[in-house]
Amino acid sequence: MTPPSRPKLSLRASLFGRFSLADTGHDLRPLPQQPKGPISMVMRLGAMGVLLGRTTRLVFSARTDKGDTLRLAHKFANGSAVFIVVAMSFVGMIMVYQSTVQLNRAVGDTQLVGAAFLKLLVRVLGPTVIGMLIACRIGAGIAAEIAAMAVTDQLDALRLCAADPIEVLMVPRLRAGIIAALSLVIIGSCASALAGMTTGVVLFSMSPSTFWNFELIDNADLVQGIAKAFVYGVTVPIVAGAVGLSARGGAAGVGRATTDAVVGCSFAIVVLDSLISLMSHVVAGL
Amino acid sequence: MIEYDRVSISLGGQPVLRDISFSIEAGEIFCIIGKSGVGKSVMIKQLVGLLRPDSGAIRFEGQDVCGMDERGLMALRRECGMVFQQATLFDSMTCLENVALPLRVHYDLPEHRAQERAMGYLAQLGVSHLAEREPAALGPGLRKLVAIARTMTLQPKALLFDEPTTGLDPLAARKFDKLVKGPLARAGITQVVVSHDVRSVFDIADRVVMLHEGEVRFLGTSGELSECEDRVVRGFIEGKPEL
Repeated sequence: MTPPSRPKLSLRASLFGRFSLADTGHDLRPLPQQPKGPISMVMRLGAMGVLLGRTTRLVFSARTDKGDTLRLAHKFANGSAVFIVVAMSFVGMIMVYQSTVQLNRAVGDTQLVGAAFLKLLVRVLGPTVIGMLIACRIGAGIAAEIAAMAVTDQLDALRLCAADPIEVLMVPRLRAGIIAALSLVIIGSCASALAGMTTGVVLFSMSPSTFWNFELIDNADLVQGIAKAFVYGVTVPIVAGAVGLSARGGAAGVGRATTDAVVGCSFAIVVLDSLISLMSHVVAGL
Repeated sequence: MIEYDRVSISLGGQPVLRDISFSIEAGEIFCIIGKSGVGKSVMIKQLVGLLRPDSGAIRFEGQDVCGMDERGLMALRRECGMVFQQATLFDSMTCLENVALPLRVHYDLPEHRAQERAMGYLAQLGVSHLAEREPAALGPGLRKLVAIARTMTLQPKALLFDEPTTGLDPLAARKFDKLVKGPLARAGITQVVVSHDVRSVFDIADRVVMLHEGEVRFLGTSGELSECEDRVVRGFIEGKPEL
């Protein structure tokens, strides 16, 4: 009898190296030689795309406890709130201080500092800076937790409990990431605006009513800001999760995964910010 | 019930198993022994689809494991549970939540119902007092018992143990042997035990396979093992390394 030949490595299995995230029974072994450089980057991006596809497919149908999502959302948002409020307050203070000083020098009129700052905060500063902070705080946490499970066979144990690691680990983190990102962007932006106003009032004798000038903000700015917060809420758990799921090699592997997650999430946020801004400019002329 | 048919696999470019063939009967306690790195754990990981052989076939109740898709593997893993060497309990959950997890995920039971049933499995193994403890606070023997309870929740037909007595004190190891020979055997569960513990193997095994350099060196009952004159087999069971 001729033994059946081993199925060839699928693209999905190749992308994930040690195991198939899809758990579809493709080859689970390490590739003999892990590619490096641009090929590795393309493979990682592919892995993240596959993970995003599988996780979003399960977002509404996953059989996980709904409480998991709320617990994680609370953990993500509550654990990062103070850090983000403090950091964004400093960002607001610095931005208002610097822009007022420069405008004073250049044109001698600081009437529009508040309006310009608030527009910038809603469109870019709020979602993007908070996205980066979320990448450091939440992304690192997700990557470290999942990587620690990966290097201690806990992911295999999950599979053997007839549970899909993506359904059990990734879906609640994706849902919680979106909830946390949206709430943190709102809270952090408010803190930044308040700190900016305080700086204007205390250091430059600006009147609060002059600072709270929303004339430059329109619906498109709000939509863009919320869209960015939503996209970063998806990006951080997916990038961090993909890095964590493919971790191997004990404590050093967990450390590598955590670093890679912070770098990957931050890089993705910068690139996505540019893409979303460019798209809104090209499509809607905003 | 379980059949390995000319199974070969290489890891990292190195051949680990070559043309391995044997079968395991339903209800049998079957031990896999051999030196470290010989591929014992690989054998059982292949059986539950965590690794794929390069060639050959592995059948569980006549079904080819290698050809199974995701859904097939999920179904297989309900019938064929595995307890890892390090027990692999989820540290973020209590022992009770760990045991309830397969019930919650697989049978979609509400938390309290899953935990009620999970408590029953912990009680069967005499560790119900650990329900609210966190796994990280337990010793290796107790962690393994909780891991076995978790595996039992899906009422598997076969249980695979990866070096169950490694890291256990002699008393805990004998307790494990009693569990395998007692309640688990009485429940008619087929048990495949990967082990280095020769005493445990002689105590529990109906049949034993010894792997050496990627091939089957011995296959027979534990009685036949004790009388085997093969130099490599004798060296292993008497703990005398080849120099």
